[in-house]
Amino acid sequence: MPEKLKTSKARSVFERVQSLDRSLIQLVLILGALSVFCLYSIDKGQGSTYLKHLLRFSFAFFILLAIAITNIEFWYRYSYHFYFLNLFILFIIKFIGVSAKGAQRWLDFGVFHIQPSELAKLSIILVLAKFFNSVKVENVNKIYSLLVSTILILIPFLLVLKQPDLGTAILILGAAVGVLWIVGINRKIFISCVVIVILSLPLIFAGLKTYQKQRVLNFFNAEKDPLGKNYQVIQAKIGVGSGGIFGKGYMKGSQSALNFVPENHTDFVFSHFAEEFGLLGAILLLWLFFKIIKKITVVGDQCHNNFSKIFCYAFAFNFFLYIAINLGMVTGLLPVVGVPLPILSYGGTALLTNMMGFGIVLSAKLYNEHF
Amino acid sequence: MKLFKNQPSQGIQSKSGIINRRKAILGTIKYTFFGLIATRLVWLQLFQSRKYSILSDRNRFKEWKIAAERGLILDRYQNKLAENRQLYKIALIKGDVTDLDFTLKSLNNILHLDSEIIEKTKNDFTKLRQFQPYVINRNLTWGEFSKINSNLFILNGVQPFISMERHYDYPYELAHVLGYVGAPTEDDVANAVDDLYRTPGIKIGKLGIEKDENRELIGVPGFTRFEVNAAGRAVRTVEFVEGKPGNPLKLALDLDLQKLAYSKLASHAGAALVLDIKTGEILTAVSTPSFDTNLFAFGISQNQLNNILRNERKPMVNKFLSAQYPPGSVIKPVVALCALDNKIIDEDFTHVCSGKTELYGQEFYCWKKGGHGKVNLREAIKRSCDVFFYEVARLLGVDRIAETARKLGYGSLHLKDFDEEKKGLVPDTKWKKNTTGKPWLLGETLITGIGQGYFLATPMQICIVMAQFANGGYQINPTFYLDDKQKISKLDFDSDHIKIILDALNAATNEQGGTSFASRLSGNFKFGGKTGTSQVTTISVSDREESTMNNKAYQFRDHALFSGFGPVNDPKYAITVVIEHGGAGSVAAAPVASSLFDFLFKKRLTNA
Repeated sequence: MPEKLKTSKARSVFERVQSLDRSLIQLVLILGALSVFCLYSIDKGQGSTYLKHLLRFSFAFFILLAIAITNIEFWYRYSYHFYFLNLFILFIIKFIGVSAKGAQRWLDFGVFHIQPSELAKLSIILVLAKFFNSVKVENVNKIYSLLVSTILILIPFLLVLKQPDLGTAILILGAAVGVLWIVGINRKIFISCVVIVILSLPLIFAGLKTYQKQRVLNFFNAEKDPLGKNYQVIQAKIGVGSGGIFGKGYMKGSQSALNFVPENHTDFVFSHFAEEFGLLGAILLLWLFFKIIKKITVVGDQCHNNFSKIFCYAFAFNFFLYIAINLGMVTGLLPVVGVPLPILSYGGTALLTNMMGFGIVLSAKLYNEHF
Repeated sequence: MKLFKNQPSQGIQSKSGIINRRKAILGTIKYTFFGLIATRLVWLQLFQSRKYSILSDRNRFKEWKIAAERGLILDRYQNKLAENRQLYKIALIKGDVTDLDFTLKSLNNILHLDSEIIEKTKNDFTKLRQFQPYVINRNLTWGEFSKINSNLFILNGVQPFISMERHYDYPYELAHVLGYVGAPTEDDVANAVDDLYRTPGIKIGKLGIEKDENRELIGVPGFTRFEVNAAGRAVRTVEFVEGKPGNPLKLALDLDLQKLAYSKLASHAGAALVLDIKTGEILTAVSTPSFDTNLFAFGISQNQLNNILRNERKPMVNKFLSAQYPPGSVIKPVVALCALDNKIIDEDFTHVCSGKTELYGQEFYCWKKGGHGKVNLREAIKRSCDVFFYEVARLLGVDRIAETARKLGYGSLHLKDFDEEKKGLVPDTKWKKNTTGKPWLLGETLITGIGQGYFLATPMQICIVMAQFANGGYQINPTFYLDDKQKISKLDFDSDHIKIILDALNAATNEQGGTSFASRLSGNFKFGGKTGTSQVTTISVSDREESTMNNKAYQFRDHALFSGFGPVNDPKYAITVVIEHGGAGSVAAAPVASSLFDFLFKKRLTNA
């Protein structure tokens, strides 16, 4: 492996920002604007949630730009450091984390709460990308690489699962599996893993927390017990369904605005969006998300080095997983797991993680070089 | 080797080749899932949109019903018998009241609430749903109302409001006819066919016409539609729909006559009824002593209620419908008609009254010591000879008397929907056998012939029977409602016989020696009728002979009855008056009837 990385020609910050991929930035900004308007409408213009979100989005966007104009080599070089630092934080959070809804997930930084488990989605992709970048193609399916990657995945996965935060744990696993798939792990291994998982489902189910079990059970008894555990999904579906084709109109949605939909600012924000903007708005939003994923994949296609390629594809897949799980949950296709809708959902760390991811993708395009 | 040439096993090219292939498969997964989500959205937002819109509105809107104004009740001359007045009230809204004890204490400083009301409020408050208003059972004066309004800043969750409540201008006079209104009980709400009674603050009829015609009077509640949030708190008013007031109800009553009758009976316990003999319309129906029905509409206190319930003359009992008296001598025209129709006697039949009659060694006295001498039917009714009717009854037998009495309306109910109405009792041999197991005795037939013994009748029945005599033998059904068209059928009696009886009743009032001669009216219009004195205790010889009623304790005195018709030459009205423990009918009841006839003749017939 050629260890010496070529550095790009030194350019001014302004020049570098100018030469970033405009279309991806535009898409992100459009989503950010939609998000602020949507939160404003949920609160009927009252409160400061939308302003806080605007502030966080601006901050995250600044981070995005900062990362985007930093050579992706930085991430290549410090992938392991970033990964182990993340593991360390996940460890200590056991003791100093702020408890939210029965789960220790937050690290309190005063104004900003950081959810280290969210960052783990990024660090797992980076660390696996670096690891497989350095593994020769014929060694990818060797026991050694399988073992190392499994350990790299399982540590953060189990730590997050223990918090307990099923949604994030699934996303970490999903992101990691995405990388493994992309780098060419044998299909047979995937197939046998799926078989093993299916066979051990009863065991997994037994190991779930009571509320998680309940959610899974609820998913299979959809409309029963409308005021009980299923309340969230039913109310969210009412929001989506009552929007109709054209929606109720901006600021005219009631399901989230009147608090019938729980978690209306965060995980179930799509319900309000679909209620006010209808099928047309929802499809447009889907299209925007799809465009972003497409864009990231195209950047991956153009990358000359495998680290960037792997990262782009894996991040695109991770971003897709967020959307798929969240929309599947809000529309009642999947059981409720706490997964936010990227950028649209109110919430700091998930926004930050995704914006960082976009930053790295932009950087991969800007510094498209062989390592 | 060729095999390896095309399949580079190392370097960037081979790796990115694998990556590109794998990425394409991921792309397929993404397309598929996005397609799935899009399909799901089409299903929810296109095909099921209507269902979810309804569910969304059901979440979002709550209706706060407002009871409509109750329909007016008018008499036949458009006088208002029951109307509605503005009342100042307050409601507590659960969820807005932060500290119930503190709020009640603050209210108490202004309103001086009964401890009873406070306890009930505390108790009821726990059963309320969130943000449900609770109306405090107390009316405020304007002063209190404005004081509450100016202190609202310390009274969290207190909502002053103006409501329309039932008011009766003549609560005592009309108590037993109109009845009263009150809040529905839990049973009322549970048994109702719809959720009308769940309307907050609604009042329903509890007795009389108010109960009978409750659904007509209650109207259609209006409502305010609110948008509520998930916690149930009203966020804004969406629309206000005014209720439809209840339909006005026209009664056949004659308010002036009713007031007159009440004033005549107010100091007694008793009943007075005036019927239109052709239509069955009830012009007057009074029961005394009476009670203030406004108290019930405004929320009666336990103390006030106890006072009413403890009164030994029983103000709550509707004496014209549910008090049952031995009819006494007012039954004699019925016995006479029965005898004539059964051809036991004819007009010229005579019997000698020696003041008593004897049967198997038992003596039955006439009210007149020394007797009436030889009397015919006309004389016997006119002077109310008991011995004559003992003889007629003996000849007839009780079963035939009972048959005629029942045909005329004794022993049955006449006002549908008035639950308090009693049936009375028409005794016969079968009845006695069935209820006591003992055979009927002939002596019992004799006293049945003068309306004593087992015989029981309500004033309503007595009045109906008189009306049916007066209209020439047509069956009528009494009604409180004007324009209550009903089929009138001829009863199976000989018209000539009825004429004979009417003539005798005329004589009883307007001829010297008649029992109610002292109460007769001079002038163009005259009335006729039969007095009755129904014994409360068993007849004793000394009572009979001395008839010193006024010396006896109230509860042992006889009931005084009078039932008559008028005007004699063209009958229009039938009047029955009963005064409990009033003594002789001729002394106590007939003068009351006389003054009612006088009013009708002078005010209604002369002016009409």
